[in-house]
Amino acid sequence: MTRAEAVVAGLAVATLGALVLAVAVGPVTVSPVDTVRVLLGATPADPTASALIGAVRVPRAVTAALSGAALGVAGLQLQTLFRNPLAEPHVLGVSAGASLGVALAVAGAGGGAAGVFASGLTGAGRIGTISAAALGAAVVLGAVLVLSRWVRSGVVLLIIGVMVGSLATAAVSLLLTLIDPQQAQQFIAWGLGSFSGTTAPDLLVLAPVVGLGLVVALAGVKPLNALLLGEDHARSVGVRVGRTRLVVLVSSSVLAGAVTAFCGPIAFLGMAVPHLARLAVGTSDHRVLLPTSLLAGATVALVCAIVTHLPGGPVPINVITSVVGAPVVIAVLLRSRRMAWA
Amino acid sequence: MYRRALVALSVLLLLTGCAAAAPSGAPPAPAPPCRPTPAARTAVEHATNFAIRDEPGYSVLTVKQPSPGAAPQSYVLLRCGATPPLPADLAGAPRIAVPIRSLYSASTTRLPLLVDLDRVDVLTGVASAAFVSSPPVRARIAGGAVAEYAPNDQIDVEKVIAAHPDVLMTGGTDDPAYGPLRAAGIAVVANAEYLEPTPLGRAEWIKVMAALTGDELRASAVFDQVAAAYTDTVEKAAGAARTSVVAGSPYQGVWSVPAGGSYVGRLIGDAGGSSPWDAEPGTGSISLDLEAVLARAGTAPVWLTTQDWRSRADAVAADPRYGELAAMRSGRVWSANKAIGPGGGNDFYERGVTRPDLVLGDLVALLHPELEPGHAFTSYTELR
Repeated sequence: MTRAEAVVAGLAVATLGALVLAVAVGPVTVSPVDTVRVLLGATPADPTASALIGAVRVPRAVTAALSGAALGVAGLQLQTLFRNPLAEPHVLGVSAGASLGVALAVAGAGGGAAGVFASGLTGAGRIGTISAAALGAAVVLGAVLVLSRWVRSGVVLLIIGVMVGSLATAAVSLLLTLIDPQQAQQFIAWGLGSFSGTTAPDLLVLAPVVGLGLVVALAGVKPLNALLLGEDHARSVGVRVGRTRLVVLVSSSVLAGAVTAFCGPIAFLGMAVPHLARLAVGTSDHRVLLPTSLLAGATVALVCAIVTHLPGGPVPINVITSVVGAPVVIAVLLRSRRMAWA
Repeated sequence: MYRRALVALSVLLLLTGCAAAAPSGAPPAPAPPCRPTPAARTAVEHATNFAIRDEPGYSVLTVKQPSPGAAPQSYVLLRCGATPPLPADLAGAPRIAVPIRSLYSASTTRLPLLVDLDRVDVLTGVASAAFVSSPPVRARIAGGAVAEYAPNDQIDVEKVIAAHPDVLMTGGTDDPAYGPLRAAGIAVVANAEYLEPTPLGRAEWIKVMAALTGDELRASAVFDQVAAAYTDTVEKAAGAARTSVVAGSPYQGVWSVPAGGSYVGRLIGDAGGSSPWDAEPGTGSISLDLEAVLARAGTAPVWLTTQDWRSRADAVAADPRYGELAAMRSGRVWSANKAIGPGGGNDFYERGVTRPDLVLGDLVALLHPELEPGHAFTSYTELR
């Protein structure tokens, strides 16, 4: 067994272990027997166990695993495409666009000029928030994709993504000054990010979308390897760079957009997980790196989701992911001269 | 050996089972006597964001806007364990057996509703105990009868489900955690009284709480008294010459003044005050530059600041330009921070909603001291 195979196998076991732990452990004690009973569809001795396991822990664990896998893979794709170690799904404006959508929905609810844009979105509370986030992310990403047609350089496209994101963020700031604090509170609650808000019907949308994005990403590993040595090299070995770029942008955007719509902007995982994966496997071959990022993302997100339940009450997920992510990013910056990017 | 292991295992199971079943908070209040028909409730007169209608065996509470922009939500209130046939449009509505015996409250603003109904006994959970000001509620929390379910502003979903309160009353905003709570069968009832544009409309939400606790008659009595006192005070102030007011405070150079149609705008108007922005439509606030406020309201003799200052020196220390306001020179600068609870929560946000008559009384007394000689202030205090 090669080192890469061992790492992937180990991560698969770790993901499963984290999944089990995320279902078994929580602020309220549920007996293991009842947990297994609920999972098998039997009636537990303690009736609250069905709600705790079925309505809370399983959706939370599945959401965390899906989100971590999606953000890890999307981050890896974009870091390779832009050949930039600090690239992550949100640099393309996904979270800024989603935030703008939610801010418009919240502001529109209270009346005012923004209401015209958002009046159709806000009908159903959470569904409205999710749709608004998805639509906002799609609009901003669409703008970046359209602009990308005229841009050959990945770095320029990266800058355009950041600029479009800044425009969206500026609009959000403007909206927040116009609305009442109580309405802003609703926006802030979404912006904190959470794996705990999804229910079974949400997962029926989130899981297939993320699954599709992951399949597309896994199918496109070979051109990613060619891109490692630059777009000119990739062209010289017969890779259709334009098409590859579009596939990577669309699949990473769908992955990150779906997660952001359901969970809010989840910080750092998209940037930090690919670096963890590279450190673990010691290769830049995407045939290994992509499954590693997928599994490492799922594991890290699950562990973060478990750790949010500190004894003093739950802590926002972004606090935990940032505490995990920031040291990784700092380490990467310190090591960057030794990285294989330049 | 085998048998001993079995005993040990069952003891273990029993222990973990007990831990899971242990309720957080006190045992539920004893069930009040059941009335198959609703107490005569009075019609809803001022509030526009909720409606209650009675049907044989059940009542329907409808909140038109549960959170900003959300679709209307109806709740079926079932009396005495009745299971009447429900029309198709109510098939998906949450069903709540009333009177409820336990309540989790997301906002401190809901707590005075229970105090005024003398039903603090149903409260078994608050989001954050630190900001509670009301003494009876603080006493109940100190006695260990109230669980804290969102101490860091993050709802502990599992804790709520394990305790299974009859109702979790929201603060009028949506929270990502409400989805899983609803999926787990918790009745999440929206209380969005702050979306009411009028002070009496907000106060009338006591009738929503009463529909849940079964105290309709008392709610009507309390509300009628508040409404009568409020109307009396409005009439008292109506004849007086309008006192010009500058309201709100700047933050980072942007001054939010209440629009004329807003809750605060209406209170100031009812108290015989006026502001240059009275004619602005809308129920929210208007963001202005400091210079725009100084230019149009710099000469107003009264400033109602929203800052938690104790003295005018605090205001000048925050920004020397506040000294330009006429109210700063005349000394008539007021803040609604007279009653700050032990945890830093402001009682103004608790009782301000249920007792608009008291807030209005304060405002009349500070705008027209001659109308209310010797007034004992509840919420407002003059900066030294």
